[in-house]
Amino acid sequence: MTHVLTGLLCGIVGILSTHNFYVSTTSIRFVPQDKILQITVQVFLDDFEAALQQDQNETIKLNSKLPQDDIDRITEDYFRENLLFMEHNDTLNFSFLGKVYKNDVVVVYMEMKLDSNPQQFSIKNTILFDLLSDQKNIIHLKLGSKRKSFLAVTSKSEFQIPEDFFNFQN
Amino acid sequence: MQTNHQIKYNCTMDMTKLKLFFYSFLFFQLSLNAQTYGDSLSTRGHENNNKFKQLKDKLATPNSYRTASGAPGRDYYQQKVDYDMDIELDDQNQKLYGEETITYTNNSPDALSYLWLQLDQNIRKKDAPALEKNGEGAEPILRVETFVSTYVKEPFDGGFNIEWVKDTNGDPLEHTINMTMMRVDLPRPLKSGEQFEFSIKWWYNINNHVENRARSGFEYFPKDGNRAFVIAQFFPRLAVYNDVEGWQNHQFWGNGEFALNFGDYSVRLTVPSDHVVEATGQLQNPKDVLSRQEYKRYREAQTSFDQPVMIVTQTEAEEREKNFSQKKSTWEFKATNVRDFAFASSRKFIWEMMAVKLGQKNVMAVSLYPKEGNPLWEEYSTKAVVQTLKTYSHHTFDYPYPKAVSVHAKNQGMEYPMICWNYGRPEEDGSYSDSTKFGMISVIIHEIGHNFFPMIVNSDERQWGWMDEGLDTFVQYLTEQDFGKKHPESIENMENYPSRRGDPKKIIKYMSGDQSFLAPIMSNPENVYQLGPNAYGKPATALNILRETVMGKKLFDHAFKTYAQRWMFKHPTPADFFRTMEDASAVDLDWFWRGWFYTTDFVDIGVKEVNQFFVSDEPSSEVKQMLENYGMTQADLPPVVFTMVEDNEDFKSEYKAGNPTDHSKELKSYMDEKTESGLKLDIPKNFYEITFEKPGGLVMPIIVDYTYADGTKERVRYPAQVWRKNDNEVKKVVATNKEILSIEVDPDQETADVDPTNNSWPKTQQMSEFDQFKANLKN
Repeated sequence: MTHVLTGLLCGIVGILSTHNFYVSTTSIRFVPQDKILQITVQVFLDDFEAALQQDQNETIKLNSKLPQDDIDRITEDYFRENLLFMEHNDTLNFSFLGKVYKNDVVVVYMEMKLDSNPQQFSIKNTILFDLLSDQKNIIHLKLGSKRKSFLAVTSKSEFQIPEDFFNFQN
Repeated sequence: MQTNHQIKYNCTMDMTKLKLFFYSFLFFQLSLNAQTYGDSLSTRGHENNNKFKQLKDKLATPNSYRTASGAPGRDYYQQKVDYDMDIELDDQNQKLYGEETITYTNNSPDALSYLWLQLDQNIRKKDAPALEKNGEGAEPILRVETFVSTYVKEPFDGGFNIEWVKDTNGDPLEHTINMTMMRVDLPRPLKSGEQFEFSIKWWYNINNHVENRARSGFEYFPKDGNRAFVIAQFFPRLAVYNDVEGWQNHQFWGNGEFALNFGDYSVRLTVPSDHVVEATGQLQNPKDVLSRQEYKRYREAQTSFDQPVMIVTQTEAEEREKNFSQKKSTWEFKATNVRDFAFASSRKFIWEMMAVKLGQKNVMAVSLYPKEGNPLWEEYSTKAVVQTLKTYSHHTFDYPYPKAVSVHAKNQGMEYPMICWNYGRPEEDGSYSDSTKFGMISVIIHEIGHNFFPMIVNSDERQWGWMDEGLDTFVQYLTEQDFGKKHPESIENMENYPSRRGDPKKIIKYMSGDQSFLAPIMSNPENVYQLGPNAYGKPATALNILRETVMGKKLFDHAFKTYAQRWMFKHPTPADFFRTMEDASAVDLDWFWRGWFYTTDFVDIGVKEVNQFFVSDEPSSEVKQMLENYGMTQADLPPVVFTMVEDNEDFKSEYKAGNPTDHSKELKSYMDEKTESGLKLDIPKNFYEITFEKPGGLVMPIIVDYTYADGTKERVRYPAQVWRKNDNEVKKVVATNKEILSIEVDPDQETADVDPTNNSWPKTQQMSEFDQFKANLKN
């Protein structure tokens, strides 16, 4: 499947195309007692498949009936490239836990240990931007009752997290 | 189960009227004591912002066009527009030519000096303003093709070329084009009841719908050089004039779909003679355009109720692909009382149909697909059409049209009267994933279902996306569940059909999202961030909750059917829907519409605390203080029962032993009296006061499971109205002989409660989805 989505014509989509339009959701929850960021990304299966095909291997199929080892490896590579967590411009490492298929979406799980209150912490989300120019990625940050959300679009994909957001005293 | 207040008020029966008044006032004071009441003179007043306030400030005032009951009024009218068209498809050059004669009947009470027509194809003009409707700026990263088509290549020039607009004498009519709308000025005002006939000649370049994901156009198959055309919004169509909008001439910007008039169509489609064609309406000349064998099968299909008859088989379609005939054939279609016309045409089409009995009528369920759709399409398409016609007819009215056609088009799902385009394509080797299969069945159900909403119950899509998408997605959910039951082999080892939308759990992520990316359902489709959950998922879920949780199936189904039948072949507004659902059920739903449709609030209800209390003869210090404030002593009171929670400082442990009558002489003598008079009353041993909190903005019924020490469970449903005087927390009393072990709110997850962590008492550690995934990994 190749989307040749002309940037300017992107508004004229069938109202119920494979899905209505192009949005992924990244939920990031901070668990203070473990000092861990739990990261969950939901992305439409058909778009993600097309992105992997374009990026890695044209024959790859996201089909739960096939062996998943290769798919998991390629998925991990894709996320390491397109979902970046940075402190002072240094990319922080996260562990890739795996993924599940849910109807027409893929849910990807990752986690990251934070040892101290991160300084100049930023998130960059470019998931599917190389495939779809009108892709939008919603990012939800949650710490207890504190919440913050961002909308990543191709023209703005990186966000600085306020210093006081992670409060290790809590 | 009895409430606190009943026990208290029962004691005041033999008092004089004055005393009665005084005591009830006192008891009122005592019962308010627990809540913080207090106010100072500096607090400002406020308007009525109660969540149960009636919707009168939101809904249009009822009138003689639309009644307060939600039905069409005595002066209700709608325009009628008939079309007679000759259309020619040039496959080789991808052009479409048309000449149409329109007969416009003015049933409105008003004289009209001009008519507005929709030119939807103009959204594809190379200078269309819709191309510039987004404001997200430059993209730092672009695919090469995108970059070239955006900044280098001459853009595709679609849009109508209007050759002429003439009246019946052949005289040109003044017309003005404003983007996607054309005004035709009438020689003299068209009075109420009069008809006006005029003609338009036009042509346009047909776009590739796969490249720009459009609703209409062609798909090109490079292997065999053929195209499959799915053509819609292809002729100048009259805009709606009505009592609500005047002329509905809001421009077409791409998302807000259509507002159209009912009328009769007579259309002659001229296409290459080796094409197979399906369209809105009944084929008038099958003998002329079908081979003898095809015609025989076509006749046979009309009475084949068990399985589809192949009119054109895959082998025959593959044979047709090879020749590109230069001859032409004209297919004639007639349709009565439809709001639009669309057609599909190609050499590639495999064609099958079967009959479905609905009431006294036979309806044809039809599928049309290129071989690229197999083996999926031959297996499921017609089955999905049949199930849709049955389930939707059951919930609304018997499908009134002679046929329903599902056409396979890549990437898109789009609906027209009697015909629709649906995605779902296997891999080249014929394999397919579950997601492709269920995606295909679901989209066919959805688009065939659109025949009911909005093709027949003809709401204004340009203004209200949810009125067709939301209602359709709701009945789609019911149909999918029926499909799973009817074809268990299709869902293999699953318990139910995996519906993507409709189940309350599925909308939680959206409704608990960042408020800055949410819009109420009552918004124009152009102006919302996430049209899918906004116009499809949330209203469908809201209706599902209304049916299962708030109204019950019986009341809901009757009201929903009443709405569909009242507005069948008419133009309803949101108010007509809201009003009819109440009118036909006697359930006040204004609170529900207000919360779910007019706000972005979400549901979150939890158990805050549970207190056990006991009966005593002695008042607590607070009660004594209260009495003292009124200059009274215990002796001034009528026979009363006092109650106390365990952590009250005046509590004595003996209150917990034995029966309530052991600790209250008044209660005992009252009960003895009743027993002597022959009444057998049982006093419960345990009294619990449960505090429910509501961090969420939406009011909803509280559904609770009480689990008792003897292992039994009791399901109690407190009506939503419990929140009408306190929107934050309410207290309920459970009086029972059994001991409560645990309490769970919304045990079946039927209310779309966004935070389950406060739903149980005692608090149970709920595993998040993330932790569950991690736990599964370890195993």
